[in-house]
Amino acid sequence: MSRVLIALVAAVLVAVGSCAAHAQSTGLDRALWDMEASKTRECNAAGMPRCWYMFFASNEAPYRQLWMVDLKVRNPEPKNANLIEIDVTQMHDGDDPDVKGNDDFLLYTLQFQCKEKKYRVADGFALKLDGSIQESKGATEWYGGYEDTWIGLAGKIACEKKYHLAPGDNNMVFLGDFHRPVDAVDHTKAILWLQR
Amino acid sequence: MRLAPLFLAAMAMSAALAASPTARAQSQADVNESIDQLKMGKHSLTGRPGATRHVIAEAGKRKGVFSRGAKTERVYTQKQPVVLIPYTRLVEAITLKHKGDPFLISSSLGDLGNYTARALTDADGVFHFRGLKAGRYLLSTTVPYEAAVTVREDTGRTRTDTTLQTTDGYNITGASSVTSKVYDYRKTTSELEHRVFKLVVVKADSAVTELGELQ
Repeated sequence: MSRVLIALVAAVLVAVGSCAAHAQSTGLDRALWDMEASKTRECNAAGMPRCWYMFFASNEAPYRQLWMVDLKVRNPEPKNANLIEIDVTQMHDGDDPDVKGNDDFLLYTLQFQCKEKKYRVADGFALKLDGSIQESKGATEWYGGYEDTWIGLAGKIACEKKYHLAPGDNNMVFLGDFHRPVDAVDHTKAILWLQR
Repeated sequence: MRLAPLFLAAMAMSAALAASPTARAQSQADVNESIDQLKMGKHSLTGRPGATRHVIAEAGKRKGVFSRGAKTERVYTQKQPVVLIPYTRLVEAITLKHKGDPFLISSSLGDLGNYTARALTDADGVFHFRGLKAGRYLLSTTVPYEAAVTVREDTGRTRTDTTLQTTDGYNITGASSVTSKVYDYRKTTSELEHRVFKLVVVKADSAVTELGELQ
């Protein structure tokens, strides 16, 4: 009986202690620490709103482009594990005359049918260099045959376990847990693209 | 038989530790309110958080000597994180409850602290938030700076002052002593941090809301 009592009291003390310990570091404080520690620490998916990783890049300054993916993937249909949704941002360094659109960055909400290797753009928007926003016009059709593009790599990241377990071993670089994609873009530009 | 009251006490404790269903629903609704306010908008917000300190003389920075007089100067920091928390109904209630105390408010936000907008200050100490929706936000940041301080060090020595009482200037009739510690006073610089925590409004009728200098 006394052992049961001791165990119960210990359990209650641990519960109270863990609550008190949690109260010492707020989400706001953690958000500030996360920013400072983002160069040295990988994403803790359970405790962060987002897990942004850099995974693809092209071109040279001043027309660089960089792609980031949020590793916190979603199942838009909870009973369909084959359908994965993932957010990807494509950021532009400057106004490349060879690229149409004059985009500052684009946010794609991509959906992948992992087994069939098909994708569609479910949602998204483009922030133009003049500050205007262009919203997507609903989900596109399903497409295939994209394996050799950045979308193919995004599809692997969405569907394959190894990218989630060890992103660093798969040429992905952790950027931070910014809730807003535009903040992830602006931090990356401020730190990596210093001429901005 | 004796386990029953213990079990009931444990259940009561668990119930007290867990949030009530009403509180959970309210919190989730507020998280959704935060998420909605953080969706891409058309407004920008800029400002320049800084701290005011007494001027540290250029020549004295190496030696820990400071300029005389009470001149002050503003200091700014680059690459310093700035956080905006949507001022939802729950955040407003928390702010009022804690009378604006930044530490108590921060420690009461819970999951709401994850749903923020973030920016870094640039080389001039200015932050720029893009893609905000109009509305109210709590702005939180810190400005680390170096300030002139006087350090008192205990030397371990003591000093005794004795006062003698005489009636005619020659014959001692009494004495009293006061012993006190001897300190060294040294001027130096110290790393301090100024916290900026205030309610800001992103204006609906303006593309850019400029907050200017922030104390």
